[in-house]
Amino acid sequence: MPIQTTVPEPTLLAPVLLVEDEPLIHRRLEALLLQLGYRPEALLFASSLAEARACLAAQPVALALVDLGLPDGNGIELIEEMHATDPGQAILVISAWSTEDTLLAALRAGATGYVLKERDDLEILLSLRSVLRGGAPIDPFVARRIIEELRPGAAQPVDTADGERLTPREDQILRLVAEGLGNREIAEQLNLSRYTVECHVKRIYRKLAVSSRTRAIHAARTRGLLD
Amino acid sequence: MACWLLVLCLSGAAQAATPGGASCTVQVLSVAAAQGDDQGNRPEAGPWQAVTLPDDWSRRWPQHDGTVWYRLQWQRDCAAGQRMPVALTLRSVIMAGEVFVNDQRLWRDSQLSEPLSRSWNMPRYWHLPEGLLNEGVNTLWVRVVGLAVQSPGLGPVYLGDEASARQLYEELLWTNRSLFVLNLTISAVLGGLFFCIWVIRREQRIFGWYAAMALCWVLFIANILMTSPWPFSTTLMAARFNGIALVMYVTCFCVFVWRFGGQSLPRLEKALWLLTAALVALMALAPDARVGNAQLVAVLSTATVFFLNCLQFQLHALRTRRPEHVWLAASLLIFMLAGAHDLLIMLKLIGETPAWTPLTSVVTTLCMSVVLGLRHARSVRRIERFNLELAEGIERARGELATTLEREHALALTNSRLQDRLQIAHDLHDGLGGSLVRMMAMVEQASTPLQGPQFLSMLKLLRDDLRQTIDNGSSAGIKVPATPQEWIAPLRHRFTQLFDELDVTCTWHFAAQWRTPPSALQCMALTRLVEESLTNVVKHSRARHVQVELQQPQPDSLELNIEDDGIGFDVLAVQRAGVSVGMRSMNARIARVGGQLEVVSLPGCTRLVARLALQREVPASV
Repeated sequence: MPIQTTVPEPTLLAPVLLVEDEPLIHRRLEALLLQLGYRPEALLFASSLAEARACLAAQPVALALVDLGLPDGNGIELIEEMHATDPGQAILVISAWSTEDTLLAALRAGATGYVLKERDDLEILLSLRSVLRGGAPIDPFVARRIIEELRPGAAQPVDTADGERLTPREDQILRLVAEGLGNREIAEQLNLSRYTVECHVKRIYRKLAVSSRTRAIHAARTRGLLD
Repeated sequence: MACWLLVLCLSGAAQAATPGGASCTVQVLSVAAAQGDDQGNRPEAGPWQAVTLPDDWSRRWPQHDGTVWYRLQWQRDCAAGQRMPVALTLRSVIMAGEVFVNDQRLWRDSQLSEPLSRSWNMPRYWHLPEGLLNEGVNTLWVRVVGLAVQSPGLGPVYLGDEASARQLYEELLWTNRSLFVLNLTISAVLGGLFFCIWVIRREQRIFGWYAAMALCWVLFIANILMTSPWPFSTTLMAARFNGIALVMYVTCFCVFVWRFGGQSLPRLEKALWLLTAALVALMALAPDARVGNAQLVAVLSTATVFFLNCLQFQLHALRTRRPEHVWLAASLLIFMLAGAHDLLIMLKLIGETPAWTPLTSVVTTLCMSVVLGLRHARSVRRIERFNLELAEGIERARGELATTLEREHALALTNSRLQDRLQIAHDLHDGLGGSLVRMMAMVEQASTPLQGPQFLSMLKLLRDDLRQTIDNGSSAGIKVPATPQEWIAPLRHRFTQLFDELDVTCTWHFAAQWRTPPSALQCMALTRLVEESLTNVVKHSRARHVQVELQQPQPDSLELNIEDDGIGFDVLAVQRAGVSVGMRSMNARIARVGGQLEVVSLPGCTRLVARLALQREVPASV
């Protein structure tokens, strides 16, 4: 690999929980994480929802990499639980052949980003590094969907707080993402720091999760399931 | 005819003299009549004949048209020293007349020659001025002008005290005039009303026939009330017209009754119209001297038809037992009884009593109108009910339609799922399948065993093909992105993030709009080309700067340019060695969508140019 990433980074989030049932992929991701500078003792592994829950009960983790298709259920459940426990938890979805809708569902459940398993090692490595630095991966298609959903002035349930809508700045960022610009380009164009742009993206993800919860509550109310 | 009919019908108690007040009476000494001369003057020494009132001179002088003088001699018979004022009431003068008291003219009709005034049904009342009267015998002269065919003569004359004369006059006015005015008004109003209904809704024939019947009746009745000859030039013409009105009335009446009862009697109807035509012709064409006979024939025929029709409808109502039929039958029964009664009076088969028709016809007219009204109300109700049923029917139909649509929708959904599946199979076969076959051929034909990196390259290519199939759903379903920027956005974002991590600067030049959009398949091929070549740049080139550019120099062509300043590679060697299966595969792929790929690589400058020929308005097909 013609890449110089073996230097341990001071900002590594640890410990990391990797929830993955496929041994080969498991080993691949483990190798990538080690390459990023993690020490083996900072890595926790689980191959099912049950194991992941047990692990989380034993100790809190700083970062979770969650595969969606697990033998005893869908990873989205786990993401929801973790998000409910700690809304600030960094959660990355490791997706296999998932569709746009699945990814969006995971983001709604509280995931803060995703990496596609099918991509080359190098690409995954770069994504992971970006996340570990505090970045938030986002895609033009996700940006478009979020704009549709959280657009200021869009039809929303009456009880939605203003905080769950996009601010003009966030809207601006999403539009640039949708046009295909990278975070650095966006930062340059808006005269912001790249860090600020990434913070905005993370906040947008949080709004997406809150908005989907509010919507669920609203739906439950209208159906008479909640008072 | 009608005058004749009515004269006979009218209350006929001849009251030439009646006991007056308590102390005075008027005594009629004699009543005599004589034909006037040609000028209508009084025959001073003519042959006076004693008559009784009411008098019809045609029985005495059947051919006499013109003037007849009536002479009434009378005296007041009072207790000693008393004087009573005397009043005179005439019931009818057929047709026109003049009245004198002791040679002083009291009154005169305006027309005493043709066309004659019509006083035949006009009761009159006068107070006789004391100055005109003698102490002893007084003479009342009445000159009557008439035609022999119209039962000419003088009706009852009443001489007596004012109060009873006026009372008699008022009674006569009521029975002979006011009742008919009432009758005419009601008939005209109802006829007009139903006429309007018919005009607006021509399908309601019944209303039309009722209106026609009412109109004929009004014309017929008008004869009774008219006192001036207008608009007829002769008295006989009025009589003929009146006869025709009666015939038409009865005909319309019959047709109306049949329509109302829902009776279909085509032959009878034809016969009725023939009879009507014959009677009308008879009335119109009979010689003047025969008009009276013609009238008799017409009256008797129409009366027969009328009674027969009333009777048959009773039976019809009995059969159908429908309430409206029974109602009409009942009113016809009243009509018929009154008519029979009055006909008998007319034919002098029973004594003179007040005619029933004027009163009963008002009642029955109202009855018939009520029946028609009921019928109308019923049909309106039926319409309302129909509307309700219609609404229910529509609701039901909508329900069924919804079910059908749902079923069709479900079917369409299943079908489209099946189509999708077929399409995916097709895409897999074309894209992934094609690549697989090519690679298998490559492995088989390889002169030396393939190395791991080569296999890896093949598998990655397959993986990327698969990803594209998944992302795009199906080639038939995908749309060409609206703008070049929209098309490149996902790739641009993905690689920008990577280049950012690697500190490689990357510039993208894409037009804001397509000049001519490429086809969906061309888009997919270009996407894979960009993906493949940028992946190579990331992995192998060690470039510091990358430029991706899309141009459309001509509207029908497209040029994609990918340039980097990396270390470069030996194009031929790479292709020969088959290490980068991806690049070779891209070559074939671009060729398949009508383009060519040009690769130039030198250290510090590697350049890929793909040129595509575009076709306007042509759906994706390769």
